[in-house]
Amino acid sequence: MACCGGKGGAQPISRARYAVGSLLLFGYHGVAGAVLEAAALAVPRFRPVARFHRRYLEDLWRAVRTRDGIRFLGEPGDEGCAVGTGPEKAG
Amino acid sequence: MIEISLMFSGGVDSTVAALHLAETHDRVHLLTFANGYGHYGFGRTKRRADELMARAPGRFVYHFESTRALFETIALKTLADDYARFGSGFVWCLGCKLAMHVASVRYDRAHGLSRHTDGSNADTSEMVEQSLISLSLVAHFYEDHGVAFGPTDYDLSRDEKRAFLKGSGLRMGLPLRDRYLGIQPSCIPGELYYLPYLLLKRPPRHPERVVAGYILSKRPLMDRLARGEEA
Repeated sequence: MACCGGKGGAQPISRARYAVGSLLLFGYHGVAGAVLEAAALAVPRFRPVARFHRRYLEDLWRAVRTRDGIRFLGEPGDEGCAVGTGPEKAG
Repeated sequence: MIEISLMFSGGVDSTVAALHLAETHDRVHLLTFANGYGHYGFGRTKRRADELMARAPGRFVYHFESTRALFETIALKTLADDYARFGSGFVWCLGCKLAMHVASVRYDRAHGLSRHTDGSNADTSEMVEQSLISLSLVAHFYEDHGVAFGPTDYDLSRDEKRAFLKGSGLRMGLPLRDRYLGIQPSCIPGELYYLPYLLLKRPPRHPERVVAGYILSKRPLMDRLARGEEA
């Protein structure tokens, strides 16, 4: 798990924020995806975009569902650490 | 006459850059690009450019251009393969920005300009196109086409920029956290890509080696396009 130090690390969030944030995230993606799929039926140039979005959304769904890169407040590892001292430093 | 071109959205960063550049240059060319895919609201940019031109007549030139064909050639034609190869949605945003850089080089060469800049900022370096690795590789691209490139005010904090802009008397837009709405174009794919970061604090993954790999894989194509050759 990435250290919370530095801009590259995941910052802890509350479970409520996770729930609401996920709803907003996939709500927006869902609407955008539906519009894209409809557009792709009529306009060929949107077809690769729709395919890409589908693949991307599948990956994002998996990541958010498994909380890959998402941390909760109060979980082990939420003690804070100095910038540049975490695992991301070692590379 | 000392001239420079600036990639311009009308937002805080590029407006502050434009104001600063106008202090040291006789003419600043404000370049705005639209990729044609969920990128909208360019009237806002035009209004900002009009504000600047009214403030300092003759000092600014505004240029708007579609980069749709360049974006399709550089990013969309290989989007699925690039996504599989580089494993991140940044292939959309960075591909878009690379198309804009190609368009900038073309503009600079057509107008005899030898310097180009943008409003990239250290405070928003989580955005792939504003990361140091991206900026440094893009600088090489410009250099190879006879144009010097470097961001203006990269280390000036967003707070300092906001304070400067407020003091300038220009429109600020609707404040939302550290952003201002309604003063620059919107990009739906860009919003979707950075939304996990904004909502869930899930940082976008832009390992330097991967970002560099993407840019370098596009360089031969970008070079041909910048020279006006067929892709």
